[in-house]
Amino acid sequence: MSDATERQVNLALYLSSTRTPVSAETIHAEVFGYPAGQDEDTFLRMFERDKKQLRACGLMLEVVDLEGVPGYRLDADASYAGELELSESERTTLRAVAAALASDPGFPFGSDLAIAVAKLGGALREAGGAAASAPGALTDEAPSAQGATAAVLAEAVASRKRVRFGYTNASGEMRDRELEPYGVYFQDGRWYAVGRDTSREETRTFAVRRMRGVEVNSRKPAAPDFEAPSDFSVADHMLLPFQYGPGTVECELRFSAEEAWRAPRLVGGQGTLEMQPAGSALWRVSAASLPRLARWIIENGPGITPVSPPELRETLAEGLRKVVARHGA
Amino acid sequence: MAPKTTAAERTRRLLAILPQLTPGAEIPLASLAASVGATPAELAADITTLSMCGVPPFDPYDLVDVFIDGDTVFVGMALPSLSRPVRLTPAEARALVAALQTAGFAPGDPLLARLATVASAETDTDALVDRIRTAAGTDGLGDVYATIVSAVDEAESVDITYFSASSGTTRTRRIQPLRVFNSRGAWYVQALDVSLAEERTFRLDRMREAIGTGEYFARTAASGPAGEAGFQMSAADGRATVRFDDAAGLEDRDWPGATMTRTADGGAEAQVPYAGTGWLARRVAAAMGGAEVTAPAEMRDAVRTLAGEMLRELYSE
Repeated sequence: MSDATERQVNLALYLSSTRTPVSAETIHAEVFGYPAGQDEDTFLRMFERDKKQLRACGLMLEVVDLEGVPGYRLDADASYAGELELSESERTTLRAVAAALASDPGFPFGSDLAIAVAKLGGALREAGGAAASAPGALTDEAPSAQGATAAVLAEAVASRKRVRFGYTNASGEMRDRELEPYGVYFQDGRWYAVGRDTSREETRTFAVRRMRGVEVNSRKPAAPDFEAPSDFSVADHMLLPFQYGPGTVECELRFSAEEAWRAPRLVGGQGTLEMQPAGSALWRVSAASLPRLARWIIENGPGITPVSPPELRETLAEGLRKVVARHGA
Repeated sequence: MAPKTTAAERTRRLLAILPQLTPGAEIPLASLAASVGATPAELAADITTLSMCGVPPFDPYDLVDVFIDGDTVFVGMALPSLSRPVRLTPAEARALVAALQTAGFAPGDPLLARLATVASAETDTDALVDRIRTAAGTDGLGDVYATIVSAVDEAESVDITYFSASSGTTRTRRIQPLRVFNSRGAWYVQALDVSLAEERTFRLDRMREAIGTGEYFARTAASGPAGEAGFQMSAADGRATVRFDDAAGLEDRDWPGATMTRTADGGAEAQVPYAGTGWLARRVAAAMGGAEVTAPAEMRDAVRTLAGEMLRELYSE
């Protein structure tokens, strides 16, 4: 007796080889793997599962009327990819990224990444890059657990299903949470989920490493539980360390002309960055904590100076005076 | 024990490799297995299954003509069908986008746009980037990443314009890149710094630009692209003793290589390795009086000097 894989591959090959729609009855008779003596209901259930699996592989079937019964054929436009032109550099890049991340347990989409690159196999043929990457560690804390949980959350985001989990906050208190997850992001080796906390009726960010026992709502799996706000972008929630907390102060900082090239990478998409005629850059950004922003300025310097508000300059100056005093000769 | 592979996973990877099975191809089993995230043993079992698949009437000419001899997968005749690449599913497109974001390919990048053309119609790339982000602030990083991995692959020397956190300066240096790795989302290249004749580790997002020189170097066994990656510091490293007043919120992971001891008064003491005083001076100064270098004297001087210079600059504006 053949196994499910053999039957499903046979079905894919058969549908790919037939130019005209075929009935379920014909498929039952022609495709090796469906038991000959199988009753119709059992066959149809098996056929439905196989169609779903082919869809999960990227093979789309269309159904047409075939003299009063459903006729099935492969939707070639929806299933087959067109020619993908990639430069040598792009091919190498794809190979290198995949080699680094596909087997990294902290990357939630490793198996999907491997299959995606395999599907691009023709476009990537003869490309180098795979050997350029050495094993690394996308996450340094419980990578397998974070990667697996982030994968579950990303699926819940895509299918718009609620999730429940136990969450330990920074004070060590644990309680159950229910979240409508809008997005997932990765920052500094850690995964985070953003969504509506249903008990607090507000959008909040949760660290994946603090979650335990994440469960996706299993009721009506094909029906979404919620709609994310139309203007939601998870990038808006990737805050810098000084942006966490209640209240905000609008601040301006200047990057010197020598250091302005580093500005777009340091600001992480937060605030607005305006290049100045003399080559410097002016950054307008909201801060929840001026002391933490002052620390950020010191840590990421040189060439970053506060412009406004005056309290930011004073906070920075006061902190620096303490440093000098403490490290006196 | 590794989890058992499901039939669904086996079907998926077999259908994914079909376009690679061109007539007459001879493919190393290990590389074909790696290309779909399987072990050679798993893929060997898959190939055996595949060799029994085909189309009606299932004569020998209607089967997938593939077999394994030793460590090589041999393909005979053309596939009976399904030889064209299949579109990426939404999950596969998400994986590619998430992976490429880490390397600096931000939303709107032409490479991501072209990959979207081979994704299924169900894939909403715009919605995808609003829901999944693996990096921010990657301006220009994609070009740097592409240049460095190509240079590793080709054993080509590269001129990098690099911001050194140790010295706080940006200058151009020539490197022979050996291997690239990711740590906590940041990409690094381990390379020979040609002018220093020493191996060092460079962070890609601190490179203003990277330009291939057209000069190629000979790899040695130790400097081949495969091998252990790790952070390399110069031989002139020192260790500083840093006292933290409050250990709350202090994370060991933010002090690489340091030995951290919590003290009874709620503080902490750390032995921190350093190469050049600039980086550590900034880290300690950023505590704004909540941390103190107790030794050595050169490190205390560096912290005091940095804070003093910043104060002068602040009031000279």
